[in-house]
Amino acid sequence: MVASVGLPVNRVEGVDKVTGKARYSADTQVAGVAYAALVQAQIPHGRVTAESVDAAAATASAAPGVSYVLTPTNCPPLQVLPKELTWDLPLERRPPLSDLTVQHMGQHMALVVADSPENAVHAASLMDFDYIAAPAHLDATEVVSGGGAADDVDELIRHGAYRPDHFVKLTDEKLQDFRGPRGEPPGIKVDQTYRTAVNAHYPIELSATVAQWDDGHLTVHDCTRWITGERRVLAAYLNIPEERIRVVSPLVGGAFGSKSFLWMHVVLCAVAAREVGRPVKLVLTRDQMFTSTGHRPRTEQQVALVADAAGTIVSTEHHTLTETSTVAHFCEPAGVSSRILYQSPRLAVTHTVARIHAPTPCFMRGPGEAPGLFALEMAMDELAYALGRDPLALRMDNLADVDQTDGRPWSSAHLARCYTTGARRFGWDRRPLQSRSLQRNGIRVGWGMATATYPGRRMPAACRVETDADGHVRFSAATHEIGTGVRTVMTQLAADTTGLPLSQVSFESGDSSFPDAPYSGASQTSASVGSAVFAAAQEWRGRADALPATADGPGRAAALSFTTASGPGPDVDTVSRSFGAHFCEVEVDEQIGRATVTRWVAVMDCGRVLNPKLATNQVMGGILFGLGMALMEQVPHDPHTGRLLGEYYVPTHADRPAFDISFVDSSDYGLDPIGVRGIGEIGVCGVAGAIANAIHHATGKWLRQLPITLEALLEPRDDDRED
Amino acid sequence: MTTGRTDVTVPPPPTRRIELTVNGVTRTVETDVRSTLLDLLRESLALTGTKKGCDHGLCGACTVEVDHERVLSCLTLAVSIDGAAVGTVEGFADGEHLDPLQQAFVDHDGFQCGYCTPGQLCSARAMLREHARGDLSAASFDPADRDVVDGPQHLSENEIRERMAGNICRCGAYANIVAAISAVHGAS
Repeated sequence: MVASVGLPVNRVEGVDKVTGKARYSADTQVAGVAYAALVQAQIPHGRVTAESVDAAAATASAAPGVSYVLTPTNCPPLQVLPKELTWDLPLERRPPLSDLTVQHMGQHMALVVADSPENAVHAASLMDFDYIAAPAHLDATEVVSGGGAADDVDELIRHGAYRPDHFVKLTDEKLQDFRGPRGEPPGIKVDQTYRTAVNAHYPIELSATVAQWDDGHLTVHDCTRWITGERRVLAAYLNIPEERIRVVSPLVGGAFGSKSFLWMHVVLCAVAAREVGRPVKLVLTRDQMFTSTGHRPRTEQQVALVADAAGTIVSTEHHTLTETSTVAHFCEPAGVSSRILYQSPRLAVTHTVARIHAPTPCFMRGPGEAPGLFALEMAMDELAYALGRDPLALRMDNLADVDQTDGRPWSSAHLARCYTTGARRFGWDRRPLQSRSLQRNGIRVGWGMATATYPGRRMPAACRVETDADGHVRFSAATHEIGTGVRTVMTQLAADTTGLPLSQVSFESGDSSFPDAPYSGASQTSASVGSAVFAAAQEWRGRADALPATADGPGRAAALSFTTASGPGPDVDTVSRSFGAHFCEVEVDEQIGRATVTRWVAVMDCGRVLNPKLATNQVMGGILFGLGMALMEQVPHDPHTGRLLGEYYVPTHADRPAFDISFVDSSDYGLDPIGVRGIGEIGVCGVAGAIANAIHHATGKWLRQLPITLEALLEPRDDDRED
Repeated sequence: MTTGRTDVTVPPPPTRRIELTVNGVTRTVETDVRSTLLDLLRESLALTGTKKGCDHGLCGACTVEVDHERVLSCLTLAVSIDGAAVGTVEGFADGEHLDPLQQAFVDHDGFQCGYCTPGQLCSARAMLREHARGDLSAASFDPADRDVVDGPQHLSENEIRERMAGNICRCGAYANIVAAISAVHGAS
């Protein structure tokens, strides 16, 4: 039989997606459902008076169709989460509606339940509160320069700044890291500060929850990419056993790092459904998405690189200042790749997080790498120009052939091939080093490149196999189809490993009643769930081969239905890591300050490619994510009040370059038995740096703040000022 | 429990009976005058193929056809189109038989999460009709003069990108969406 892994198989849920049959959380049809609408704070810091809350609730309650108004003064007590869930994960310590303080603009203040969406929204619009405003810290620099004194660590609301040791639960991803001599050696040095904006995930699917109670058991239909985590955290807030909660997340309409770690509106929807005794549906508005479902926080990154005259890097420093809220901990780990990507005998990496009066941030596609590689890769180009070297040659000369953090070799790394293949496909050898040397029809043209890298990750996962009497085999795990193609590649893997045709196997996801799987993030699903599916399919094959030929349908089905699990990965002496190289062309019209990305070549080394059609699509998506970050995306808000202003721009059809995506399709068995590493993050990593470098090549300007706006492109060059 | 109601009697919101022909089926519905076509389709008619992405006309996910023109259903009050013919993604296929655009989206992988797909499909089908009748776009002025006078004979990739720019795909499957539309356009 023909293997399907490695072939461009169509998405298994593709027909559902083009016919409107594909079901997302908000599509859930529940009889007798009531509709909820949120009321959110209109100041960044302070408190509301209890009297005004009660008066507003009375007004809303009197509006047509309203059955219930949940506020801080009547919200049933919610439990504080255990510390293990909050000290290094972006879960809020303070339960929602548990006090009268306001910690950020857009904090949930009330939930209105009515018989129609229109009535709920109308009633919510009637709720005005009396605020007693307090001075707000809206900026990390302000917090740090104010002394940065941190509160007692066990408080629900904290202030000041802190220096986290590692990234989330990943203890070897050090956020404070040093090696080599204390003092900086002499040499040719670049030392610059790079800034990135608040970015929103902006999945096109709005977060939606349908909560339903039945005899003390809660069913939550929710757009989440962490079913098992959501069940655990909901159980903790509501103080009920996990076994009484079922989380269903059928298809997820994009996540990119959001839709995880249980946001507060889900808890409030569950509480409201219990109080009104009927199912409640809540769909966030687009504006509420910006303040209620996480974001990528701002960063200010100081990068200092020193090289000797031959262009060998002798010192790397990367110091990040970033922001979290006053009620949860999260650190954008911008400096982690600087520890690893280029050889450097001396290293200093630090991260400082300031608690500000803003919503809680969280992972966003390429957490750390996306903003961090913007800074590092731009600094590499600045160093190349300081040395008079070709930027690609400088990178190739400083490749790290081992993981410098512990000296272990890579399990399978082909970065040099990514560079040379990409350079050839792009035509990099024709690039003049001098900036402002290319033009097309009177418009400046620049060519830039950058390196991509992201860790290979794997976590424990399990898989259920059910064999029907008619011979169809269904695999299932509590993972999530967020558009990555997990159902398709798991079906391919299951088919090839069992030896069955694709049509005879299927893979189901999106229900907490399936065996546990990790969150769909950090590019770990193929390695984690794939290992579980592979183990299950091997077990199925072994059992099937051992069955007597006379086994009948039902007996055969029973013998071939079971659950199996796989671990966190082999204990090996190698390190799995993905790499890639981006090359791009940008046209800059200096008359009107417009930058257009016209051409993109990417070569990715992310292990074995299970489905090139889906993998290419995902890498293109990552590049567009980075393109938006580089040129468009910032959550616009008034720096004095924190109030959202205007719109958030993301790339459209018209902004997309011509793509040439390819893979070094080389299996990595150091991480898992199927040879894969993740693919979701690597595409975005380095993209903003490549674009900024191309803009420098086109214009001669180093624009170190994202997004690179029309205003920045219109600013006179330093040379012009000197004239 | 209900938080203290006041004694004020508030009149219920006005409703109105309208008739819509949705995917060829005529339906009479009593609708809140504030309801958008999008909410009516999804919450009253259980036609959940049409998606809410922003609810204010930015993303294109809710695109449907009203009297054979593409409109944003989130910006269309249901009562304002009494008597109209509405086409949604549920009406594309003929039973199990996919429309060529649907099949092309599957074959070219013109999506990832699939949430914007119904809007992309409705927009693409209407866009091909707009082009066929000679509607111009900003990109029509790039090529030859003849195209500006007569309308472009063949839809270039740039034309498709321009004409589809109102439909956002955050997953970034744009190149594949355009490839799917080009394939159908080329075959017609």
